[in-house]
Amino acid sequence: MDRVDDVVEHKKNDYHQAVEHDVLSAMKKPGIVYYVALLITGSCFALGMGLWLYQILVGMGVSGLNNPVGWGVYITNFVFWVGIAHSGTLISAVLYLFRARFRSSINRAAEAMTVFAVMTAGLFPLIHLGRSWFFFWLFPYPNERLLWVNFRSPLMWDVFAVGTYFTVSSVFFYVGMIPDFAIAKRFHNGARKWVYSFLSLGWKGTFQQWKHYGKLYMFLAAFATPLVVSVHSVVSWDFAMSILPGWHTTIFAPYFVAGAIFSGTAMVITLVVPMRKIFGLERHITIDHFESLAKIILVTSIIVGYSYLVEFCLAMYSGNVFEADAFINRAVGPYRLWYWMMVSCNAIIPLTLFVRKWRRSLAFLYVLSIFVNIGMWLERFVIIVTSLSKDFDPYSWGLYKPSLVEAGITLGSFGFFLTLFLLFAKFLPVVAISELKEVADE
Amino acid sequence: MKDQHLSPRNLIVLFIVFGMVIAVLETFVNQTSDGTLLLTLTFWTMLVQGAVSLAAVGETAKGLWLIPIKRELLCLYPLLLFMALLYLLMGMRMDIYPWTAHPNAWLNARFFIVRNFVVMMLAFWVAHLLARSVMRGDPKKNTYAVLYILLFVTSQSLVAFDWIMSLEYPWISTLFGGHFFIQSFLMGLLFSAVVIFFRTRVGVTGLTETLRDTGKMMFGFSFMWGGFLFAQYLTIWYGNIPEEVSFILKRVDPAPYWGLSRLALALIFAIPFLALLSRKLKTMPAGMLFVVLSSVVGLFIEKIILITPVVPVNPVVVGIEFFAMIVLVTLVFRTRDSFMPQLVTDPGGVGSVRAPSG
Repeated sequence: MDRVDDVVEHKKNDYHQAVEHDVLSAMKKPGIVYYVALLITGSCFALGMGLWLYQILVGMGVSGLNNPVGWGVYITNFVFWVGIAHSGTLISAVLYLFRARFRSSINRAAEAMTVFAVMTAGLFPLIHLGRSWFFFWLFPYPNERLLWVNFRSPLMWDVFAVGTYFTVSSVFFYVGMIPDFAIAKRFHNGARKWVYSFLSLGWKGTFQQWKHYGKLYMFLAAFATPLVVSVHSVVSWDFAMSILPGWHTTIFAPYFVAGAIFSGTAMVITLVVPMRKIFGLERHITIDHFESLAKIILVTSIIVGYSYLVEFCLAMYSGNVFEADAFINRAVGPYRLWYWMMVSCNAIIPLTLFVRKWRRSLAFLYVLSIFVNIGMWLERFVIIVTSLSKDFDPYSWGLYKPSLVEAGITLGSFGFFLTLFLLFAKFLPVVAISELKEVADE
Repeated sequence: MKDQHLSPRNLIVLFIVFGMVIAVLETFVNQTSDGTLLLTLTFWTMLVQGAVSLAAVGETAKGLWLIPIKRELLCLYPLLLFMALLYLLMGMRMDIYPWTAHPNAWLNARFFIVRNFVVMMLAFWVAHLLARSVMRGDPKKNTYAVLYILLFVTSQSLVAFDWIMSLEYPWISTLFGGHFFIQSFLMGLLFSAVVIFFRTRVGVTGLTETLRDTGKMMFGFSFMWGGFLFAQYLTIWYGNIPEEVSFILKRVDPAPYWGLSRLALALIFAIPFLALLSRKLKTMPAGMLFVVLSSVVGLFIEKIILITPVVPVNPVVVGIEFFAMIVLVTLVFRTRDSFMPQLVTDPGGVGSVRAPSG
């Protein structure tokens, strides 16, 4: 019996060392491919920043925004990136509470994605403001004119919801990394060792430390879970609180939450598939993990499809000509191509994941995740633009076409997000080492 | 008390007898209070479909915590047939819907009865296949579970949109369907807590973990119920469109709805929320029963609030019909050995653990 225990213990130690080795190897000096990728994403980001500067200097006229379509690609991007931010907390917090072990291999990348996506999302209200330097008017601070922000405006709710979400997600991301910083410092020298040592907050891995750490992590998970729901609910209410046809609908809150988890999970696949290959993490991020993510995509896709169907059918059912026309306009109006692409990418193509073989094919999943990302961006675009371009009064109807400046700034946002992710992959442990060890021990 | 045996044929006879009782009540006793049957149907369909859906979700999500009570949840599936047959009585109550005066392609009496009946019958048939495959450890059980969940969502959405929402046609709330299937699922969880309570009373042990997990799920779903209610209320309140807010005002402002609406909110959301924060209470069958009673009474009051401002109900007939349903559920539950095979050993499958007897 002792001999069997020895063998098991030996295997565990081997696995622990392998995890440390594999994950920390990803933090070594990068190769040319990494630098090329960083150059491309950094250039996109620089282009976006340059175009934003151009917009500030020339004015909002360089965008395609007009009257009546005062919200366009910028708000689409804001909602899209907030949505992307959702799966991080889902995978980290919600699945942690549900004791879903598959999260351990991908939670770090998902959490990083959350923080970076919220940062990217936060840029767009500033870009959309036009006079971005007055952004502080959004905060309720005491001033000599005794003016307060309009607390009844859902846009104000956004400031608080997204701000809280960013704070909690960042803390959650950081707390999860503390034991790994302590491991990383053992494998580095010089400035990096000092930085990891500082960030590990004197972590020794004692029983007491683990006990308190476990409690804190559980508390943060429980605190972050309602936030997942509240943030995108509030974002959805930016639209639902108005009385515009196509926007004023009660299903928006859960539908946006499901859509956010849907797109966020797809983005996790988009990022983790190449990361796994490049850093040789196949042993720790397995096909089973991707299959579990595929199941989340499938379930949320069905919820999103259900919402499309219910919205459309009830608009017809109600007999309200404005509501009915808003949805008919989406399907056969000037934006029909985008609408049907959205339906196909979000509600039809993901149904292929009912087939187990495809759920377990990385190539298929990767392509599908890109379709979902495109579909979910289009969903926000269709919701925003179709309702604004054709509301009640034919006199105020008008079409919107995004300008090249808006397209460039959108590209820049992807550049910003991917640059941050690439830097994360080199400077921080991309997989939660301590959690993988814990799962292996169980 | 020893469990009785009831053959499938006798079960059908039992359904016919109970169905006849309710039909006689509705035809001869309750001729003016048209909402009574709708109230009975809505409440009990929610419970039965919810219990089976919980087992189906547990099957697809590989929920280990559900194994000890999976058989008890699934054993309610024959009642899906009873509810479908009982629903046919709604044919004589169609005048409660305002749209019958101006029928259209979707809202016309014949299609209304047919589509709901077909979906309910399909749900029954798939639930039957699911129960059989789970008990036998058949690999097809996942397929049936997924199919059942889709039918459950469809059926509960129709209950919401067709049965209840169309009472106030053309008022709409797109989240009404979601609100209904969430609370149906909650009813399934409440039923599991009751099952655990009674099984613990007859000496079955080892259910503490299942009870705790049931409590956690009840906490989550009562919270979700509150969230869905808030999402609807806030949107309608903020929009302040007269044809939308009138639905709400009618149900929260005049007596007795002023008190009832607040009571329902307290019973379904506030009390379970506060009570289920306690870790200890989630392991106490009696404490959990208190939360169950609070939620069930709250959900019943909610249905009263939804239905009675439009159509009246007869409290005596409601009492008799609910008593009949309680007897029927108890009979089906106690005789489950007659139509539910025991779980078979199926290594690797979630439903492979033999449920404790008792």
